Amino acid sequence: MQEVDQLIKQALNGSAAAQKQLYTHFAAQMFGICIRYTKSTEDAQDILQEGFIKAFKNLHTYRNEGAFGGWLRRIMVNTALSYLKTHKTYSLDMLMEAEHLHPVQDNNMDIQIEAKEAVALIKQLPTGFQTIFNLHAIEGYTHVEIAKLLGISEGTSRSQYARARSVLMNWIKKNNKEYKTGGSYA
Amino acid sequence: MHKQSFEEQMQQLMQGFNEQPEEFVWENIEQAINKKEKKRRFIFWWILPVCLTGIGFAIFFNNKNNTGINSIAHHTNTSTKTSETISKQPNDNNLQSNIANKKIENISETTIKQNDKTKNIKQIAQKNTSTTIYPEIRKVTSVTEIKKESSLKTTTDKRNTINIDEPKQTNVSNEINVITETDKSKAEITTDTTSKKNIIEVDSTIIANNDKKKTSAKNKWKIGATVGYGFMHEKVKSATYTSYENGFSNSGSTAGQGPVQIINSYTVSAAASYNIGIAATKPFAKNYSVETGISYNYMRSQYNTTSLNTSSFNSYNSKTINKYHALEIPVMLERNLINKNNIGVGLRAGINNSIILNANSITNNQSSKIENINTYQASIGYGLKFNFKINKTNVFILPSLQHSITNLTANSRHKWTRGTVNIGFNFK
Repeated sequence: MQEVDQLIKQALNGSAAAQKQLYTHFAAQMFGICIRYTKSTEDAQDILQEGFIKAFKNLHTYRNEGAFGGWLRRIMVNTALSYLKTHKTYSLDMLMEAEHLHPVQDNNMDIQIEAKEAVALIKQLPTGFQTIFNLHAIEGYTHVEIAKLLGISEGTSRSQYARARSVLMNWIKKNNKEYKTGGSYA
Repeated sequence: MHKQSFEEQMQQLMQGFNEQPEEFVWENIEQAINKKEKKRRFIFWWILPVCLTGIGFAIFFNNKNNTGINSIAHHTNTSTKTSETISKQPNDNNLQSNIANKKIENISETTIKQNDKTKNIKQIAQKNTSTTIYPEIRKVTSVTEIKKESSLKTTTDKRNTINIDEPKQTNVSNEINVITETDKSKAEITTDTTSKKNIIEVDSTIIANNDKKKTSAKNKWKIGATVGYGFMHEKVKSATYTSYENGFSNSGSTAGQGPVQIINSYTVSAAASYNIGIAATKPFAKNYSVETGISYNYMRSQYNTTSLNTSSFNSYNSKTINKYHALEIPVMLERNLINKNNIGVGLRAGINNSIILNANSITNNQSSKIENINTYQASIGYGLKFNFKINKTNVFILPSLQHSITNLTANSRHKWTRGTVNIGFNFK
């Protein structure tokens, strides 16, 4: 943590080496976030790039209150949302096919798949569901915040999340079985 | 044992999800950051040459004025002879060293109707109070050349030329009066019988001395007062940051009593600023003046913050005004563009040096003092000057913009801009 603080100070003084070290330190973690919000690696890299540029340009606004990683994470999420809004391929369609809407009985199921596999499943969700799921289940945003961020009603956010969660749980359940029996994700 | 919810399991799972991006991403980031730095430097290095060019022009024109007396205008007269027209100028080495007579040529044969071509300079001076005459100082080699030159209707040097078509009675009268009072004995008026024109011979040292007196009076400092109103804007981009406060959290992994995450997003807007001070102006060349002074500045900038409590979901807006109290010493160069009928318009540019005496209230933390403030602030200022002469008082209006060169605080790069309209006056 102290090392990161030191790097931030040096980066503020214009040290290119410190900027690179900060990037190296957080790039993998932030790229993971970007991947979750997009459908392709190229788009994730675009978001990562844009997010880091924003972060370095606004480094002076970081007030040392809370972890730098958290600050950076928020920038990445906001950048991802802007990216999704501005790119037509990610128009936030909220359509969900009927086959995805089977209710899940087990609310407290155990997730027995790996992170990479979970991300692959999240990426299969329609963009709107994928975004709301990421924001609420993983980032911890409330539905009020999500509604504000995406310009939708709180109710829509809740219902869309419930559907996304249900679908994902079904998929995970299926993959859990495959995982246990040495299926395709094993 | 507490069974983790689906969301908790997901969060835990995703914490370990890292992917290494490709190398070119950093290269692009690095390029983009450097591009911005270069742009900043470019703006700075663009402003600097503009200022230097302005100063250079001022010096150039100043020198040109001084050497104007050496500029020679050739006039061909009827006998195809040429002569040199020379303008009088203060502190001119040529004039001072050259004791050759300067001739004040009166070519007002038609206008001085009542003048009986007396050879007494005093009489001419008296006439000048009510009669228009057109004197011109010429460096000539012989009296005969003066006679020939008398046929000229215009001169090339506007500074010391009295327009024949639009005579300026007062100036002429004063000039002659000064000469006569200074040293009447050294002035002599003769009449050229051929051309029937009056010729006044005056020693050049007298002219030079008189010019010195006039110039020194004109180039004195003019001191006055000024008061201004405007806006200051801190150049901080809108941003979001997270803070924590104690409270009861009921969401996510931070459930229970403890720190609650607050998401704050803020925008920065301009706020009203005021200044009051003393302004001093000194002309140093034709149409050029230097301006300085000292003023007290109360500058303000507004931060609008929206905070969202992630536990209670309460959202609230707050406004914070950053206040800066500063003493400012400007050093400005003024170029007069228009000066007619007691109304003047000019351009101003220069450097403002400020010392921040006190700064308080900053957004994003609870302290009332701004920490690590850079006490010395330098800024580039430029604008216009509208000048109105009312009797012996100059009233001026100064709309101007300022862009800081230095950073506002030691650990940030943010700069500020200020737009101000000042109104003031000074006495001659």
